[in-house]
Amino acid sequence: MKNTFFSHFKLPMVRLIITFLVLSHFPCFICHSQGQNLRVESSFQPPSITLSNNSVYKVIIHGSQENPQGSLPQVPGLIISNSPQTFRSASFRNGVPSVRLEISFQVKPKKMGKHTIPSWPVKIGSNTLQVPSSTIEVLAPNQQDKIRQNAEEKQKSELKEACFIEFTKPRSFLFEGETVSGSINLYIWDRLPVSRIERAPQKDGDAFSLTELGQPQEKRNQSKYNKSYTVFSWPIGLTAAIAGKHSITFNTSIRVRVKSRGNSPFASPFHNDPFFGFGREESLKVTSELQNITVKSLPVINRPKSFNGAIGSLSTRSTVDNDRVSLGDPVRFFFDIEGQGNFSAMPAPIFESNSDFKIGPPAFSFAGNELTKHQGKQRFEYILTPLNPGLLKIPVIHFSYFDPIQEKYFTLNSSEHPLRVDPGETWIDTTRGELEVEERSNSIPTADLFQTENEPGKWVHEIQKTILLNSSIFWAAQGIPFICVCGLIFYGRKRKRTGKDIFRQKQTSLKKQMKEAIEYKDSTLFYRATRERIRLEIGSFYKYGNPSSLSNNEISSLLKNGNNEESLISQIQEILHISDSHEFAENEEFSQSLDDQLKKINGLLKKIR
Amino acid sequence: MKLTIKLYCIFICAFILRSQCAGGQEDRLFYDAVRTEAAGDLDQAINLYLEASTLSHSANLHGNLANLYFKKEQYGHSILHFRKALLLNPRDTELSANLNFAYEMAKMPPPMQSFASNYFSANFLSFWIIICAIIFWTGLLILFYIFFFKTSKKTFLYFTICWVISCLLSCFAACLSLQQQSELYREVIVHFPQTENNHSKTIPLRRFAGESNSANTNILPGESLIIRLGNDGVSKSHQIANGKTWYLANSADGKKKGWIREDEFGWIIDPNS
Repeated sequence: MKNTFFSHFKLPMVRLIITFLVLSHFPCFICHSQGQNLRVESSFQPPSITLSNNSVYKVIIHGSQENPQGSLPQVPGLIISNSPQTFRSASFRNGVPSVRLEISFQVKPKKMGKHTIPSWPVKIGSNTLQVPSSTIEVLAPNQQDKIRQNAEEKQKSELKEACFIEFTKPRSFLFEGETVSGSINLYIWDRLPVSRIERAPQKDGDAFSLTELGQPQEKRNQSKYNKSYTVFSWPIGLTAAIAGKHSITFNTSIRVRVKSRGNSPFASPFHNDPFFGFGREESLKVTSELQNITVKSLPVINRPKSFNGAIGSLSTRSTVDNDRVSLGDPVRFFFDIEGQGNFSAMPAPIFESNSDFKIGPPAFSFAGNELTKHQGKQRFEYILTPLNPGLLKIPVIHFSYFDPIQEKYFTLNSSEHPLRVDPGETWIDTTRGELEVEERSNSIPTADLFQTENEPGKWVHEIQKTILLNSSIFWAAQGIPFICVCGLIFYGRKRKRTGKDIFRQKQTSLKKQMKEAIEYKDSTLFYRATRERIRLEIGSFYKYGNPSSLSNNEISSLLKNGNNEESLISQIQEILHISDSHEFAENEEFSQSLDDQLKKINGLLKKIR
Repeated sequence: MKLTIKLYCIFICAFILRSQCAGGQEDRLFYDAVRTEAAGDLDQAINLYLEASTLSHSANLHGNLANLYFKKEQYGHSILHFRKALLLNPRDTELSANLNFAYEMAKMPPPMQSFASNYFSANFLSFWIIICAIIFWTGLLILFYIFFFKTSKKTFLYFTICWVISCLLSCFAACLSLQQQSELYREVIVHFPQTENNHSKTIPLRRFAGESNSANTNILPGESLIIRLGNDGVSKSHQIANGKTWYLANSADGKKKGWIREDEFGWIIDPNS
């Protein structure tokens, strides 16, 4: 390939300068230069350089300032600049006007040795001249060059550490269709004068697809390489699309401020730039390191029929919004897939209509990380319309997925949901309202209806138990209360006949009278009842025919006959005497209280024998 | 000594084996039916359950049988066996729920549950009889006690009135239950004959006993009827020339009546068993 000289004039700036020079000098010297001899020289300045230095290849045309035409030959081992500098000059030598045109090319050596630019033709106006050959000697780099080279490398390395993209691959290999989550981290050194990030990182690698990048998360004061960084993170979901060995990189560009005199941040130690904030902005491209990832094909062996491309670590759950409907009413069936996987590429499980259900296409909804769609819950909502009444069973969904960690296929089935489909209301019985409410409150879930019992339970020979009235045991048992009643009657009659009952009644009555007398402090009544009681109890004790007719002396003789103690007899006589006195003499001067008297009388009557 | 122990053990084992073999016929049929049902042969399972029911009855047997009939959409048979199962285990809520659903599927309202039908049903007959006996005898004993051992005539009078009223009320309750019991013995559930399998049809109650007679009214499978009694106190029936017996029946509310063939219904309590 040759450098075309005039091709440089296509550059607007250079062309403008050359045009200006030609136009400004041409009228003065054109007439004088007509008679001057045309001559061309070429040389390297300096002619000898070290490998790390540059030289200038100069072509000098004497006697003309016209634009030359020609092609500079390429020399292996030298890099010749495409943008030459031109310089026109005019002078008088010994009274003779002299013009010349200097064209300078920057030359950078690539290897050591002698390099010669051969002679090459140049056309000036109507004349064609030969540019003589020139040789440059490139020497080995000296110590100073090496120091400078090291400094440049260090500078480059520092620049690389100043701003870089980090993307860590989750695993050494992926499966075709597998989605993994990760993040792209853009590290920007705090001292780097970045004005803005021009665009989000872009992927370079066709074998992978990337989820949409949202707004980055910014983290400040992150330490790395002994520097403080601001890190911008974009969470991503990376899906392997094509099997094979592939590489992937990410790049972005940022705007940095550089000092106005400098050309680029690459050419100058911008972090020492004293014009921070006052210089111009330049775009800086940042690229991550190349990552090689192997993408494996999914295994064909043992691949289930229901496998539709779901890859990940997943679990499923199925629910229905109602377990009892009327015929024709739709039922919503939810099939949830939860875990980590390629949710963005996961198709809905196949769920086909049958004779019992008409099933519509599912609606999708995803709950989780919307950006990466790698972790969360994917819900498929099917609308089922029952076609027949009865206790139907919703068909089972078979969902298969490939687990990339265990490298196996798994198949999960939805639960077998029973659905009670009522035939529909044909009439409304208003009287059943309350009962229905009660039934609903005690209603059994449809899933529990019509279950088969595995054990027969208690066997009986007849469905209906024997009526109790026909049971001989029942009638026999009636004999017990009958006997009790008979016994009671017999005992009661006997008791009435012996008079014991009358005695008890009288005794109770007299005791009651005594207590009432004490309560009302009626001593007359008390002693009257006391006398009657003593007569009754002693007479009855000694089986005297008419106890109420006993006199005091007769009572004493009965007690004596019964071998009672003298003191007992005398005390009873005393009480009888007091009673008589109270009754007939109305003498109420007794020191003992009625309560004490009652206790005394009770004690005395118990001692009788 | 050892020989005696061995003989004793052999005798015990033989006794256990004999008792298990002798009493397990209905159990064997039941388990066979469950296995057959699990294998998907519903018809065979029904036959096995029916065979077991000729030997003995259990709530689970009739419940399973009703479930199978329900799955085969023979709602009349299903309701019949649910009713039988509930007679054996009245507190089983699952059976009640199943029965209600079977009524719905048969497009029939479930029987009205009133206070009288609940507390004076046939199930409460024994309860009311015992209550009646307790009130009678206890009251009588107390009455005599008051008569012989208490003097208050007023107490005796009041207690006598209360006792008589209590006796009358308990006797009335027992009579109501007895009546329900009598109707239960005559209650049948209408279903299609096993040979027919037309779900859209109703079953006619004829004006006279015989196929050719026109229908008085039509009833749905699963409805209950009460077989009427003749003057002799026996179910009113008539046997026609082809050997089929017809029964005169009416619905529980008495609005529908007519003659029904013996294979068009099932007895809740089989009078022949």
